[in-house]
Amino acid sequence: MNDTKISGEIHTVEEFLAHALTLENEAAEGYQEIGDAMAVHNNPEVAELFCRFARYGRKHADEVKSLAAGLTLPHIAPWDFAWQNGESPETPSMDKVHYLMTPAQALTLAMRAERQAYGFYASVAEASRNPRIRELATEFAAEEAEHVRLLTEWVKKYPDPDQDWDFDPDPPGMPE
Amino acid sequence: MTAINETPTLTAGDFKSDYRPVWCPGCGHYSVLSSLTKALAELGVTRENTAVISGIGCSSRIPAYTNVYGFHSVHGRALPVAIGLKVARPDLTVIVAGGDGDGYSIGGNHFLHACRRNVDLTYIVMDNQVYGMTKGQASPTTPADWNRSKLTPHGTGVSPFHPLAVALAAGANFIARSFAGDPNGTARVISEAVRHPGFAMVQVLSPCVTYQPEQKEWKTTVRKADIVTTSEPDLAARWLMADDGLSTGVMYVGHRPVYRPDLETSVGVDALEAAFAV
Repeated sequence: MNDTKISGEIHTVEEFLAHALTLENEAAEGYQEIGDAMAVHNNPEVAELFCRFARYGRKHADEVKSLAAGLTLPHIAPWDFAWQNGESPETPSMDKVHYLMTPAQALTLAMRAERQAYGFYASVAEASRNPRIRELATEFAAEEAEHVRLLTEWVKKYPDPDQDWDFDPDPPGMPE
Repeated sequence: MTAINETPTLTAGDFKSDYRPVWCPGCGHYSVLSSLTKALAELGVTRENTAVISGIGCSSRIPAYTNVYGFHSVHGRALPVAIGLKVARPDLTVIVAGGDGDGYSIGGNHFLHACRRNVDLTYIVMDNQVYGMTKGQASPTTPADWNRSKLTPHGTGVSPFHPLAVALAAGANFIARSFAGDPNGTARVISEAVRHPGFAMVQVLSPCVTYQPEQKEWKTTVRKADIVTTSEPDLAARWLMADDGLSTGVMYVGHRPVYRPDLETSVGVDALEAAFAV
């Protein structure tokens, strides 16, 4: 399943902000969901990291809402967004999640999501003919690039995962 | 068919409960929950007029994670519970959700007759080809050569059940397959299934990362079906039987009459007690 972006089909500032708001909200929800799952599965350090990412996502969503003040954002069905055939680009990929994952792996996962968000905004900035959309998308892309840079620095503080990072002495075992 | 509003008044988040799912991190069921709540928001249903009914298994925990009426019923018996509810309360939007073991094995006979009766329900089967809650035994849809369970060290040696072909043969009125890795596409299919009158069957390929980690490959092997949705059962059957089970889309949309029995306007307690008098 590919994640074909058709960002050139965003025609108005309202449509663009609706995309940005959904992107940030779904990123926050995705991080919170993983954080909650990690807490349930007793990986508190990684749980806290994902919950922190979720808080950042909600903060960014609030910033988009501020920009949208006074505008009426259109309702867009989930399957009609310009990120066709998949999730919004900043949603963390669940297939990279493991209950024993390390902080470094969590940060790498977040970095990948931020890169995808950067890619989305950069493609809108390039494709749009609307100067205000180009301006906003360029600004948002720069913010996402800064997030990638911060995460790149942050991940250096953690050691690389051990080779047997997913070894569980009491695994969710098969029946004997 | 359930009356649907055109403009959503509730968001997907409004349809999620405050309970944290206990599914394994990375489980496909998280995405199905997201798809279901997105679909309910898009359909414009109200929480008090919607019910999610389940059986037993990992996926059958889903009513607890939704903020609508729910019934976590007996193993394999979600469909009869849901049929009873829908027949008694045709005004409700009734969604049935569960897994492949619950639906095709323990509840297999109910599955056949639910398709045949064609009550206006949507049945979402979160198919991971394994019994996850009981730690990884082969289910009806497990490939014949799957040998990762100590109960089937040489594989099951049995051809997997073909749920969509069986649903078609048994009379389901809407047949589709989607993938948890495409939550927005799945939300769309669920919306279409709910809107379509009659028994709608949606198989969602939902990876079990713990007991079927090889299903992570679905991200690259699952693809949109090269199919034009048909209302011709013979065409749909031919297509389904030739498919490898990894194509997604709406395969069949039928027009059979929906089973909708006449209801008594009211029955007094005396009359009910009389029926059970010994």
